[in-house]
Amino acid sequence: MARKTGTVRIDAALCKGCDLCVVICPEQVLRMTAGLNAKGWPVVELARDGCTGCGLCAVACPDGVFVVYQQTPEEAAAGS
Amino acid sequence: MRFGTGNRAVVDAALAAGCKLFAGYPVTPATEILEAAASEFPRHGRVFVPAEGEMAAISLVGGGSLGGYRCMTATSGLGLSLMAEGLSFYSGMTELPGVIVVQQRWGPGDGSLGPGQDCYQQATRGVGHGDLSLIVLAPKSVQELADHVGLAFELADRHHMFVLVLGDQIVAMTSEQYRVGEPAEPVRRVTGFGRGDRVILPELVAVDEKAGDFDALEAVARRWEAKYRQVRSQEQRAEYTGPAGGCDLLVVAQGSLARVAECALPELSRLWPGASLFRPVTLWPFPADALGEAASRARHVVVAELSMGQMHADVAAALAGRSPHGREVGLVNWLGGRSPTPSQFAQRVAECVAGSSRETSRAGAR
Amino acid sequence: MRTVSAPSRLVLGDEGFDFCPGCGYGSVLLALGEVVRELNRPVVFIIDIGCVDFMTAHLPGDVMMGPHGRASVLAAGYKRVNPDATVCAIQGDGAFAGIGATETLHTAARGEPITVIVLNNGVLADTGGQMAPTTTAGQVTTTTPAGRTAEFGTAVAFLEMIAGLPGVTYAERVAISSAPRIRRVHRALSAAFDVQQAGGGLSVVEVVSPCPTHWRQEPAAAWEQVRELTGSSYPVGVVADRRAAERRR
Repeated sequence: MARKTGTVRIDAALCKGCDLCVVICPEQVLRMTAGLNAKGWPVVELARDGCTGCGLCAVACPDGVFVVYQQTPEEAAAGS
Repeated sequence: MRFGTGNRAVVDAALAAGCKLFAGYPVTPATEILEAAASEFPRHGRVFVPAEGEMAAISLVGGGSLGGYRCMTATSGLGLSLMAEGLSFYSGMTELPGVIVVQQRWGPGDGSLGPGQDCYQQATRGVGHGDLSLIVLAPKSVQELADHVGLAFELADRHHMFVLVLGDQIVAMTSEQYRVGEPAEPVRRVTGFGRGDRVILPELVAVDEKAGDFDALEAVARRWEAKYRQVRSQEQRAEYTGPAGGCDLLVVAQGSLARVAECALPELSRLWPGASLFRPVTLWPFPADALGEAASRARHVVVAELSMGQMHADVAAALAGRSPHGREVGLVNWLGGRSPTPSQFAQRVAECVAGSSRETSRAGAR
Repeated sequence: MRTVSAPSRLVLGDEGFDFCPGCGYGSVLLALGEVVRELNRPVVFIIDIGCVDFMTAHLPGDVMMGPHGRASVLAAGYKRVNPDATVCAIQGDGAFAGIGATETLHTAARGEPITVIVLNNGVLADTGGQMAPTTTAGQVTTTTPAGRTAEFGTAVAFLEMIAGLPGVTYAERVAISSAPRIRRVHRALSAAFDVQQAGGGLSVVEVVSPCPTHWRQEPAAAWEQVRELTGSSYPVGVVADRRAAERRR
């Protein structure tokens, strides 16, 4: 059975580059960039496809950086 | 008309003032206040907590006051020392109203079990860190102790601060007649805190969170400064016993020692006609203006207290060290927990004045 | 796509949290935001002195900051005159187990009907990372630069010490060291507030939190450290549960 897919919206202004999300992501779709936000922290970005919307990044993140979205294969096919 | 100890009168007066919460820890000579509150407060539907220590007691009072009600504790000098940080936080920083009765026993550390007036500086200057003042009332009798408890709650509510009623072992444990009102229902103060509006207290913390600069912090402190200035001008209280015109001798005494002084005045008047007594009723704000008035008509000024001269310092400062006739402000004191009889009082004052007269005439002869 | 997770904007505010990168306090605050939203009633927060003060403007309720170590008894005083209020004291391990240990003990002994959240990072963090009662053997802090040795005793697991008091209706220790454990924080806090709603005695949730700054570790390594702590000095789990007995009363 095909898996759910998902994506995340990252609030870069809140990120402090702690790397916990990068470490915890089972699909390894997150990457820490070298860019600094207004507060001077490196920020995380979605590096590639493969996010399943599992939400572990949001659970791990102590700074509320992530909004996590998900859809089933059916929903994806229906073009939601 | 009731008959009972000062300590008992404190509880009766607290109930009459609608006090909602009493928390405290036993310490001589205030323990009876705690014990009377233990049965009387629950009996009248109030909150009573025998706290594990004075630091917990003052925080229970702070919490109850934050909750919008009149709350109080009672202790001696030892307990006041432990409550210092709490008073700084709750009165100085958060401007919560509250009442604390301190029944002094003489001595640093454990001291003795007799009366003392050596918490004067602590109560008027050192009651907690920072720019901090509590109004300090000094009752001389059981009736005045009861009156001062009621007055303390009113002043606390009016000025948003703690008020300290400074008694001693004599006023605490002597039985006298006194009048006090019937218990009154506690009324919750209108306060913006606790309604879910995300109010942050103390205000200094709220301001720091929002603006975080020294201008904002100083603005809060200047408001405090103005408040203390207002209290200083509005709340001085004193009592003068003596003739309206001039007198040869002005005795300055407060609290229970003032009653001894009153009784000694007739004997003193035989040596110095019209010998008078100036009795500060508020120790903070110190009634300097009224004292200056009274002393301006006196040849000799002698301070009497149960300490090494703590109030003497305030009197000397108010009179700039000299009575109008150029003599030093004298000091007679008793230490160790002893308090004089009126006769002993008069004798000591006489020796003090005689000694000072000899000094001056020797100086004049040189 | 459906939104499956979004942080509480009420606690996040406009500019996010001021904790260090990887500090566990943010996770606690996010969970607390959800719990209070579900509680659907005003909560009064009494906070101690410590890194908890960085929560001040973010807490989902009224906040009073009190003297160090006294948050629990200050909260108890408030609750005793306003028994219908929901009151929550938040303090660090230094306050809970050290300078405020007496207050903690007697708040528990009296069964004060408040909720206490303890943030345990094994150091006095706000003042720069000095030894706390919870500092473990060999742990380097600014006042144990060679590591804590027997001269200063061993770590104090204060939650276990008060757990035996009947006044403690519910006590649970959780930790910020994995996703399942972080999710458990929400459940523990809900259980604790439910105790207060039901008129029970003291409810306490201790959260073992990583402190990357003072542990001098990267956040992911600090999670490892928390796992070690929960495997030794500070095991996670329910330490006291008298809710059934309370219901029967």
